[in-house]
Amino acid sequence: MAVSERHQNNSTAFFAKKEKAAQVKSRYSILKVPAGKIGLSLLLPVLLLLSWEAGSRLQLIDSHLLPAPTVVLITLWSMAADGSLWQHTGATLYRMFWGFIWGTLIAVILGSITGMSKKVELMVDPLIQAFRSIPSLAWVPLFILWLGIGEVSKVTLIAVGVFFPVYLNVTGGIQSVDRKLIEVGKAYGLSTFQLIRRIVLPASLPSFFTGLRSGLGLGWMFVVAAELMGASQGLGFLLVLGQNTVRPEVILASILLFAVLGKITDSILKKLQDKALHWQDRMENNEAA
Amino acid sequence: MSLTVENVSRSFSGDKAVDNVSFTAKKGEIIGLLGTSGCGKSTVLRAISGLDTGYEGTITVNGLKSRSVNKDLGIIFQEPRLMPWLTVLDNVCFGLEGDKKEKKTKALKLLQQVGLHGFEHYYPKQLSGGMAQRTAIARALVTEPETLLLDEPFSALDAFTKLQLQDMLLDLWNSYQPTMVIVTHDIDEALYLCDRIIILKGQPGSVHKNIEINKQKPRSKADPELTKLKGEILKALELEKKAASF
Ligand SMILES: Nc1ncnc2c1ncn2[C@@H]1O[C@H](COP(=O)(O)OP(=O)(O)O)[C@@H](O)[C@H]1O
Ligand SMILES: [Mg+2]
Repeated sequence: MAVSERHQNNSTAFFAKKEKAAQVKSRYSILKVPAGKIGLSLLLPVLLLLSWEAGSRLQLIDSHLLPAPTVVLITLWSMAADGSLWQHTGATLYRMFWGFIWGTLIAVILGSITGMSKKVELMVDPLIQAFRSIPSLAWVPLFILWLGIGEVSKVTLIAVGVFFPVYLNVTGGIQSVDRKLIEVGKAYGLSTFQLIRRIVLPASLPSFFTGLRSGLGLGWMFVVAAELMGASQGLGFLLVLGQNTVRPEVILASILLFAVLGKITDSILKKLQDKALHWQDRMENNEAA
Repeated sequence: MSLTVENVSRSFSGDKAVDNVSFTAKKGEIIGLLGTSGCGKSTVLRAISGLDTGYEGTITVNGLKSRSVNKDLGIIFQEPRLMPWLTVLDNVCFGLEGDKKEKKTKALKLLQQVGLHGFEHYYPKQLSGGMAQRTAIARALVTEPETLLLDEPFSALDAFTKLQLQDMLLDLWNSYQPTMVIVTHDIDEALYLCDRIIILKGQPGSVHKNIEINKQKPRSKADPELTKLKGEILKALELEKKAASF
């Protein structure tokens, strides 16, 4: 115990010193030197991983409950070697893809109609708000009952998760388009359709992307739920498998994969967003310029 | 007559904002709508533009009675109102129709005229206030509208840019002499640019004076006649201030 305490003290002192140095430096150069930025943000995770690994090796941590990071990596490696990694990841990505597509599609169609027409909004919106207040996981038993335990019910559940943020942002984005810009279009005698295409759509694009990204986040949450409720493959299935066979390294590997996939898909969306919205006058954009 | 405004009144939910305004503009004339803020200048301009159709009275543009937006009208608002997702060039092309290449040639020519040569690929977020307003002016003029409506086009700009753009506007006017209606609360601006000044006054606003200025442009700001006129206009507007404070 004494050993570990001293180890900890040393490491915090070391950490504090390093952080201080980084802070002083960052005040002047954090915007200009990306290397320093990356180093600063990697510092904490790397330290954590190292002490975790050390803790496991020194048997300070019960490896039956929390296996070392290297063990998790080895598990991933062997899964990649026997092909099961790709099978499970593929299954999850497949469900996620279709759930995301369907959820987004329906949200965009419904959202643009309610955003455009006050009447339709009055009719449809209360209903959608009511549905929104249902915690979406409560649908699970019903979906299984209606659609069976196969792919359809899973994709549907993910689509439900993706739907709401996209819908809300599309509607909100359209409703908050600057009336003054629309007036410019009207002054040039644009038809309603032209107004939508040339002003409303581009002006509500930022809000649409915000919706897409939070929809994607919720989609990943729901894919876990969908796969926990009885699947024979997928990363969620790996979670259940790891629990039932008491192999925490499998659970951790699955969590890690979820994190990596979530991050990758979100950064793809972010790339698209930055590309499509480079004209926006935002702090972030100006910093990059 | 290129533009006739006859007995135009406008109420907003029962409250009259503009009462019985009439004036006419000859072809190529520059009309100044002058008055303190809130007296209904923008309301009159919006009625002329066709963006607001809830007025009473008659407005005739080029012999046509119209209650809708008209392609022969160009509008420049107080703010540039550029589409932030379009480049300067595409913003100027916004109201143009037809062949893409032709549109580009026209827009580039106008950008040159307003002094934005070389900035055609900038986005609105990269422009200063003056550059943005120049772009808006180019956008309104590129369609060569016979009548140009301007709602306090320079009031948000600094004094120096303002003088520059006033001269630029006169240059552009010279190129094909559109009829212009400029809303302003700046007496010097009205005296410098306009062939006729219509003073709106009161709540609801009505025409208080209709002053014709027969003077060659460009004018000297120190012209004694204009200085005398300025005194008269100030007096007219000040009277209103006294009346309002009672
Ligand atoms: N859309 C509107 N709804 C209600 N009142 C309005 C509207 N537009 C203008 N008004 C009123 O009409 C009056 C004249 O406004 P405006 O024409 O904008 O004045 P100005 O342009 O001379 O400053 C003001 O009292 C204003 O409150
Ligand atoms: Mg006004």
